[in-house]
Formats: sequence, C-alpha cells, structure tokens
Amino acid sequence: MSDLGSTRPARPQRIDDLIDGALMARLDRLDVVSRKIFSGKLQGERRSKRRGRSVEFADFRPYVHGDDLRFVDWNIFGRLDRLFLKMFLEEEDLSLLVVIDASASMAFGDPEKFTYAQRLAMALAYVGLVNRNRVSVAAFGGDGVSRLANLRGRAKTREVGSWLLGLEPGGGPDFAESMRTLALARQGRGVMVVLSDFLLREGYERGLTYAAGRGYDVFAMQILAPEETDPAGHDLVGDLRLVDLEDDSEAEVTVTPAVIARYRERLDAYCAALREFCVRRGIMHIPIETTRPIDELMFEVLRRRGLLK
Amino acid sequence: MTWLTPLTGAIAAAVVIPPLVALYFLRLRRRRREISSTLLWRRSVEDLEANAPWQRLRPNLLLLLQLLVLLALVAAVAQPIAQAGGRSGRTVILIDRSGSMRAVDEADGASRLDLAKAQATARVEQVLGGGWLGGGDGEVMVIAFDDRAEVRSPFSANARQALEAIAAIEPADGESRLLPALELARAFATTTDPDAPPEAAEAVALELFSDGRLADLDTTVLRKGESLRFEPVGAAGAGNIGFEVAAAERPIEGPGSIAVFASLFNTGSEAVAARVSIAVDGVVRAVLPEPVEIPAAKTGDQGEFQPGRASVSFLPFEQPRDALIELAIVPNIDNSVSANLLATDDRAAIVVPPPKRLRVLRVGGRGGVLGMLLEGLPLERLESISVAEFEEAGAEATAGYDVVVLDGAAPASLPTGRYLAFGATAPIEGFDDFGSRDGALVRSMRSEHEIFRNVNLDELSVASWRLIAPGRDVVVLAEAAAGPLILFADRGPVKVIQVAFDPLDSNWPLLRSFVNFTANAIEHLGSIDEAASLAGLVPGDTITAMVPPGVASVALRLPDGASIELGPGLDGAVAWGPIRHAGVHELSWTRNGREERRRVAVNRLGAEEGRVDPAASLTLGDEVVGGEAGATGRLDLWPWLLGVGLVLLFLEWIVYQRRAAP
Repeated sequence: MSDLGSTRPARPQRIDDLIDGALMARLDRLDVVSRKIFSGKLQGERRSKRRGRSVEFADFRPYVHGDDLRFVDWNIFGRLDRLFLKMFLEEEDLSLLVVIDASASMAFGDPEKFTYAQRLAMALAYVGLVNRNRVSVAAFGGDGVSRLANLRGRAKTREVGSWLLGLEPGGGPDFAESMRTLALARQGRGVMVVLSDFLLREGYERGLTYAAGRGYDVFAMQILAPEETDPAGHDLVGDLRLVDLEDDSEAEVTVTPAVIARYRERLDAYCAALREFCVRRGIMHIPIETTRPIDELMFEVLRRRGLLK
Repeated sequence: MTWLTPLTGAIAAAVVIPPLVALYFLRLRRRRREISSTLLWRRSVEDLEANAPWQRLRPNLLLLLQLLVLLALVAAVAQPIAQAGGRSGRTVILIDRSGSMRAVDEADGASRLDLAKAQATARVEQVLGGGWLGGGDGEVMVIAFDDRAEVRSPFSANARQALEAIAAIEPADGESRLLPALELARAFATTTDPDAPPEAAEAVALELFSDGRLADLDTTVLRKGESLRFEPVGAAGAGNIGFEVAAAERPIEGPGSIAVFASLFNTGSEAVAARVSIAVDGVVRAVLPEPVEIPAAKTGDQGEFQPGRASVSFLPFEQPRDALIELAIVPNIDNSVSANLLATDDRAAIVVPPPKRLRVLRVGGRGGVLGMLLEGLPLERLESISVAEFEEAGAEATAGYDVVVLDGAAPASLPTGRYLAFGATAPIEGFDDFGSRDGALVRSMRSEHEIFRNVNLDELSVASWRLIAPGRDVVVLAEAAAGPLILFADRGPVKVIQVAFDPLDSNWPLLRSFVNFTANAIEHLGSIDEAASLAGLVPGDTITAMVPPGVASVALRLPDGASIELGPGLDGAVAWGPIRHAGVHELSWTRNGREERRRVAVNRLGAEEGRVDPAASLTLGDEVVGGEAGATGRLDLWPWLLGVGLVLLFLEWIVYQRRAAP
C-alpha cells in the first residue's frame, strides 16, 4: 500500500533528464506543422519555390477528427473516396508556444504528470528550435504566468531546458486569466500547445476560448496519471480522506466498486465534454496518459494528429 | 428462554446501538490520500448518495463486530435465562414460616426461611420479569403460613409489591399446616363472576417453598386442576434435638416443692448427648451432671418415622411461691452443628402457681360416702348446706368457695361458680334430662383427661342413671352404650362436671377410682384457670384468662418485649391469639392499687415440628409431588453473553489493528 501523496517520484534535475541525446537525434527529423496558413513577420528558414505566394503545398496527410475541413482536398476525395488534408510548406517563421500547467494538481501520479509535461514540452520545444521556429514556453500556476519567449535555433535548447527545470508546481491556477494573458501577448500566428490535465474547478471553457480566439492553432494535450484513469488498480479504495492538492480541500469518500464505476463514468464524461468543446472551436484535443513513452507519443500520436511531421 | 428484564435491555439497545452507528460514521478512521483534484470524486459520491440513501450502510467487518459486541452486552442486560419458567397465568407463592423453618443449615447464619424467601424472590422475578423496569403478564399472590395462613400480597402483576411482601415475612413458631394455605389460595383463585364460563377460571399454579415437614399431609389433597410445585428448602440429613414434653408438679406429700420432668427427642440419624439445665425465675438452679444420651431416630416396622427419645427428671426442690421454670438443652461441644439445627425447641418454660388448698361447698346429701370422702381430702375449708339454703343465698352462695359439690341436689339455678354434680341433673343449658334409665357400663372414657388420672372405670357398674342429652359445647368425658355418664359444660362463669348417676346407685364407692375421680375433679375445677398455665400452650393457641371483677384493662407482654392492651369481656375473661411465638407471655393488671401478674408459658414442643430434615417429596392423597430443588436455580445466560462479547471485542481489536497497520 503506497501513499502517492507522500512518495512522489524524483523530478528531473538536469537537461539530460528531460531529453537525452538519442531522443534528440530522432527528433531532428521532425518538424512542427500548423494546420492553418500563417503569415509570419520574419522570413522563414524554408523559402517558397513560387515567390509571391506565402505558402506552398507540401504534402498530404489523412484527415483526422478535429481537422479543419477547409483544408480537405476534395479532388482526392472525389477520386479515392477518402479524406486527405493538404499540407502547406511553411515559408514564414512559425511561432510555437508550449504552455505548461504548473498547478499543484500536476504534481500527482506515477509517473508524475508535471514531469511528463516538462519532458514533452522540452521535446516539442526542441523540435521547434531545431527547425528554427520561433519558440516560446510558458507556465501558469499558483504564481501566475511565467514565460520564456521568442527563442530560435538549436543553441537555445539549454536555455529552454534550464527554464523548464526551474519550474515548480504549486497552487491553483486561474486558467482563464492565464490563457487570456498568453493570448494577448502573442506575436504572430502560430501553434499553441497546452499541456494540462484540465481538471479545473472553475472550468476550462473560458481559457480555451481565449486561446482559440486569437488565431492560434491550439493543441490541448490532456495529461492524466494512471491513478486517475484507473483508481481501483492503484489502491485508491476503502475509507479515504481525499485531499485536493490545489486547495487542500478534503472529501471523505468511501471508495467502493460502485463509486469507482461512477468515477469512471464521470471522468469519461468530463473528457468527452472537453473533446467536444475543443472540436467545436477547432482545437485538437489529445488525451495522454503518463505511462506512454515520450518518443512513442511524438512519433506516432502527434504525427498522426498533425502537430508534427 | 425467558428475559427477566426485557424492557431494560430494549432501552439499553436503543440508547447504545444508534450512537455506535453514528459514531461509526462520524469517527470512521480514513486514510489520507492526496489526489490531483477532488472534483470528480465529489460528483461521483454525490451521484451515488442522491440515488442510494443507504449506500453507506455497506458491509463492514468492524461495524459488524462492534454491533455484535453491543448486542451481546445488551442481551446480557436483558438477563436471559435458559429455563422456561415464566408463565402468563396466576401463581400462588406459598412460603412456610413455621418453627422448623428457623433451622439454620448454612454457616452463614441464613435460616431456611431466609433461603425460602430468596428462592421465592427469584421465582417472582422469573414470573413477573423482576427488576424495576421489568414486566410480565402473570400475576402472583404471596401467602405465608404455619398453622394459619395469611395473604401477604394479593394477586398482582406488581413485582415490587410481591417482593416486598416476601421480604417482610417473619418466622413464627407454629406447626406447618398446608391445608389452611391451600384453602386461602383457593378462595382467592375462585372466580366469583356467575356469568363467567367455567373455563374462564384459569388454573392457578401453586408453588410451595418449605422443608416439607407438614403436619396435615395425611388429610390434604389437591383438587382437580390444581398443580403444586414443591421446592424443598434445607440440607438433607439434618438433625435436631429438643424438648418433647416438659412438666412440673407439686407432690401431694410436699406441695411446697416442685418436681420437674422432661422428655427429649432426637430426629437425627446419630445419637446425640446433651445436658439439660434448669432455671427458676431466671436463675440457673442446676445442670444435669451427666449428659443424656438421646438415641438416633429410626424407621418403624410400618415405615413410620420414630425419633429417638430420652427422659430426664430433677429432684424436687423447695419453691413455696409461684415459679417460672425454664429448661434448656446444652448440647455437647463434641456434637456436630448439623445435629441440632433448630434452637426454638431447645428451651421450654413452665409456670408453676403457688401451692393452693381449695375451699369446697357441699350442697345437699348430708353425710354418706361422698361426705366422708370430701372430709378426707386436704382442703382448706369444707362447708355443707342444704339446697334451700343454697337457693336462699342466691348469687352470694358460692362466694368464697372454689368448688361447689352438688350431692344429688338440683337447685333452681346455678350462680357463678364451678360445680361437681352427682345424681341430679344440674340446671344449665346443654344438659337436657330425659329421665331415669337402668343399668349401664362405661364403654368409653377420655382417659387422657386430667380428671381420669389414676382412674379406671372398667369395673364400674351403674344400676340407675339419668339420660342427659348433651347440648352445644358439652364435652362427654365418659359414656355408656345408651348415653353419657360423665359430662363437662363450660358456660363461662359457670362450669359444671356432671356425673349422671348417684354413686350410691352403683358400685363406684367400692372402687378406688371413685376417690381418685372426685379428688381429680375438685382439683381440676379449683385450678381450672391455672390449668392452662401448668399445661402450657403452643404457638397457634389462644391465651384466655379470667381476671378479677373491676379490672378494666389488662396488659399482655409478649416474649419479644412488646406490650398489648386487652379489655376483659363481660364475663371477666380476656383472650388473645393466635400465639405466634414461643416464650413466656405475661398478663398484668392493677387491682386496688396492687399490680397482679399471671404468666403463661408457650412452648414449641414435639418431634413433629422438630423434625428438620427436609422432605424430598410430598404425598397428597394419591399424588406425589416431587421436590424440584434448584428448579428456580435457573441457568443465567448473561455471563455467557458477556464472554461472547469479550471474544468478539478481541476479534474486533485484531481486525482494527490489522487495518490500522501501515
């Protein structure tokens, strides 16, 4: 019987703990892709073959749920009866904003959700940096919003890593206000990746609306710990006094199979509602469990979902 | 199984169990767990609580064990008993308080009456539920009895009333008689409603708490439908020694002295040696130098019980005044305690009046054999008058005389006095003269009567006699085939011994019995008031005494020191009874400024009541009621329940420790 609240796994202490050389070597082959056409303020690393046009067709990829139907190639659909999205070559600089939820609720789980978010943010930022995108990383938590903005190039990897290592989860965030702050501070269009569990007492709606409303191509990555998806399998049963990590509120719950079943129903409904909300606003919702390896996530899930190529 | 205090148990359960369940929810030991958010958990629990209000009453081993512990304790409080002794009908508790129930079997000093009361108390608690909060649907009546029965508590469902009535029962010295108690119970148990169907009269359960030594078992039977439950009290094999007879007499040759005789009995199975002491007016005069060996009791040829007996006598000693003689058994220190359980019959008291010479008036029949006989008696005064003189003197004729002898005389009326009448029938109510008859022989006589001491009438032959039909309260002392020959009538101030023939019409003057009878009769009549004092009384008797004219109030002092005021009747007699306790009772009054006293000895004598080994069963007619010793020694289950509760508590502790362990 283990008490997860008192035996937290050790957090990364070095940049190598966030991202090792092997992973970096593999990530070198990836690039960030936006599902939208953006007009950057600076000239991008990759130029257009046809001058005067801001974007250039690059590739096709299969349609996935949540993609903007405006980018579907209807000619291919007519010929193959399958939906494909037209991918455009980013000619201008791509703004990548990775936002980490640093609230206390992220310091939960084994593997811990916050550590997982740190590693994922590091990997995404690395992909953006090596492709000379304009990379920003931000965190919101009990202390408000902190941000490391406008980095470009592989050389900034260490800076990003150090910044991520300096984060500590704590407090309860004002998600809506944080998103509003980040959205208003945006420079140029781009991709915003929000790494959070979205278990927000005040709700996620307003915050995501702020994020999507400013033109970002938003990816909402919902990170959940296995203890949250399968409490019964992690000894979360019996007469318990559950303590909320964010506000220290307590709930005396006698966890029975009936309560577990009800909790699962509630969690599924909550995630379904989040996904439904995201779809309606063009946000890509990607649920992630912390047991999934980062490289597998990067190379399979995120490529398939259109964030990376 | 019966619950003695079910209401108490129910109240305890109502008080204890709900708080336990409440405490269980309030003070549930929960593990502290930190989670990312309680948001979903709260909603889940709220959903379940909204849909299932009793979902918290889920199976829980700790709660189950604690509830079982409490249930065991509550059940113990309700005092379950294994024996199904409770009944919903009517029960009569019969408690023997006779003299033998004073016996002390145990070393703790508790008498048999104490034990019987304790058993009866337990039985009442069993029937009525007992306790202050207990209740039952039965009714109990309490009757205490010795030779008389007394209702101490009528039929009632009030256990407290019955228990207090039992506690208030005091021992008496009377003999045990079951029949009066049964009749009293029957009187109360019989329905008096003429409209009620016969079956409405519910059978009454009789429950007897006694040592089983009942004097009237031979004449007592149970009626149809009656049931008697006998719970014997006392230790088997117990023995007792006591006085069977105690007597004192002034010898004719020396009326200034007193000779004392006593007979001792032993109901035990072993011979007992004992000494006897004698005290006169409270001062010990002598102790027998050698102990008296009283043989063990045995069983006769017919199976009857025969106590061992031994006699003692003290040499005559000078006592010219009246005396209170007290005899006491001093058991040998070697005897076992169980050899003499009853102390009541270890003492006997005799009141001996002062020596007295009688004054006799002879009426009619001058000279003759009777005159010669009277002159030969040791009398203080003897006068002879004619019938005419007697009638002329009227009420004053008998003044100054103790006995009047009517020698063939038949005055018109008899003033106050005591008469010995020969020949002519005395004019008194109850003597109806039907004329003369010829020839008679004595067929029967009450030879135990004092007037027949040393008198044998077998050789008496009567030639002519008066046929007298005895009326109410006339005692026939001797009778022939055709009618009574010697009668006694007590009409208060007038007492008459009537001889229905003239001695000269028989061969009686030639027989020695004539002399003895005449002397005995005159002595008996002259000391008739003192007779009771000499013979003594037994508990249950009534004290009666004649007091001099003019005495308005008589004080009776009981053996325990209590005093009772008595008022003499018109005939100058005082009466009080029934006597409850053995001992010396003293009557006193004031006449002409002088206090006069008369002592009456009441003794508990005889081996019947002195037999203290308890009977195993009672035989009532053809029905044998077996003793049910220990039947009310019910099997209390509360200690077992407490044990179960402790075991469950231990199990609960183990489970708790295992759960609390990290």
